[in-house]
Amino acid sequence: MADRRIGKKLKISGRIKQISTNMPVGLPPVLRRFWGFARDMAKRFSKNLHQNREDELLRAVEKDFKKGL
Amino acid sequence: MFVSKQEIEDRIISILRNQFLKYSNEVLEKYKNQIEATVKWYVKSLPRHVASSEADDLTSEAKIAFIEALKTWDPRKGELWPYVSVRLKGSMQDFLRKRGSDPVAGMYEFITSAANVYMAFNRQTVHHDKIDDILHVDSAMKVLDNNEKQVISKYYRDDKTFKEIGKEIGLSESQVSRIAKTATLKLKKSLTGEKLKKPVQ
Repeated sequence: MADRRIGKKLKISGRIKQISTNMPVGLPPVLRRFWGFARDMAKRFSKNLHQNREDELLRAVEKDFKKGL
Repeated sequence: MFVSKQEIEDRIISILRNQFLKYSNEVLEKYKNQIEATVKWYVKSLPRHVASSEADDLTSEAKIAFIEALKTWDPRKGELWPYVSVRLKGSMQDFLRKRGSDPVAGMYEFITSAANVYMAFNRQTVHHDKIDDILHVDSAMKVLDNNEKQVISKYYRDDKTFKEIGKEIGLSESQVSRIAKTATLKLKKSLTGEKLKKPVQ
């Protein structure tokens, strides 16, 4: 019985891995709604660059939307 | 103010693209090998004389087209490279077409120049050496029909181009070139004493 338990992986339930790219505080409501889309597109643009510039791209979007629609 | 979903998405894309274009050199550097491979692949399909003279220009043209394509690429519609690669090929074709060295567009020029070389060669051997010296021109010219006589005399005696002759007779440059070629062959055969075959109609 003890041998079987050693072979099995330990399952941790009830804990969800925290998403690294959290939504920043103070986003305009419009952008808050489209944040997922913006992040996805920033990822696609950034994929074609040497460095990962996803955050920089998203910051530009955030800055622009803060000026208003 | 009502703003549609499409408008907001477009705005996000446009902001991201503007930011992305600041690093266009970085993108170009990343895709450098793929661009060069595409140019090589395209150059391989070209005739040798075009390929050797245009290869460098095509590479720079492809790079310009790449940067231009970045400005219009929409990540919602697909990956960057498939979109760009099609445009690269198109831009290289356009470039060659404008320069007049596209395989298809340059075909006419190639045929005309080949005909000119051929005629120049014949002018020396057949006409200068034989016709002028032996003075059998008149009898040899009897073999030719009116159009052929006109073309031959204007081309060799008046030193006119096929284009000029064509304008005078009311034929196209290529038709005149064809007539001149057949007429020269007829003359050559007549002067060397070969029997002419009746033309097939």
